[in-house]
Amino acid sequence: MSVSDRDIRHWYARLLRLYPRNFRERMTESMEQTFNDLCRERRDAGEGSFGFVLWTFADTFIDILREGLRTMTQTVKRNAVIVLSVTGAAAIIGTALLTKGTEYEGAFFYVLAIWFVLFGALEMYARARRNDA
Amino acid sequence: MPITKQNPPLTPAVFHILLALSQGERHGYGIMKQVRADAEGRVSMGTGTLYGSLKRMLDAGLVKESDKRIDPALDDERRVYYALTALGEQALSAEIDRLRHIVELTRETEPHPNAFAYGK
Repeated sequence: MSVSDRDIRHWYARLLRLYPRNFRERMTESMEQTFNDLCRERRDAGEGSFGFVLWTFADTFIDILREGLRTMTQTVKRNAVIVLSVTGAAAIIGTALLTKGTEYEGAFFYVLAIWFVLFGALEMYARARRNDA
Repeated sequence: MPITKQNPPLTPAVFHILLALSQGERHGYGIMKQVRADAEGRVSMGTGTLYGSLKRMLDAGLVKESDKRIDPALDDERRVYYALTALGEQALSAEIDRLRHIVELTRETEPHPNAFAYGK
């Protein structure tokens, strides 16, 4: 059973759907065009396409993994401040409520202090990264 | 532009893309053909590597999307053309200086290529 150029292009288009959305919206139309150009080039030169297709699919798949990881890292970094703020506020309020009227009533001050230290460390790390960039 | 943490050496893919674009605006397939010609067929880049690098270079401001137009040598599809930015030109120039320095250094010291392997 032989696989037509059309089938290969169809599978490649499906593979490109695995890219993260921001990448897909900007680049995959051009990627499909370039892949089609390369297929046409090989066909015109009378060269076989099996090795080329295998190599291109592997190369693209590796880049999909790389882009996915990059997008995930950016999302985590963007949300780190929000997560720390929400959990910190919850810990302070929770401690204040739980210890109210007990001998540990002042404990939420320690939680507040720990939260400030953590938040300050995160902010200093973020500034150092910004200066490096 | 000295090599610093802010200006690390470029990856081979980024260097070849910048070199191809320094000769004029090109679409993705045009960049691939130019890279092959520049490297005399010794460097071949897949579409994943090319567009992954282009995306990172767009984000870093090394290249920009020029416009979308038809390449008369191909078909009637409109293609995105890419061009170098001033920052991209600086990065390319710095990398060429770095490579030139390495070549000069190796000419001066003439290291034996297998010095470590043979314990020389």
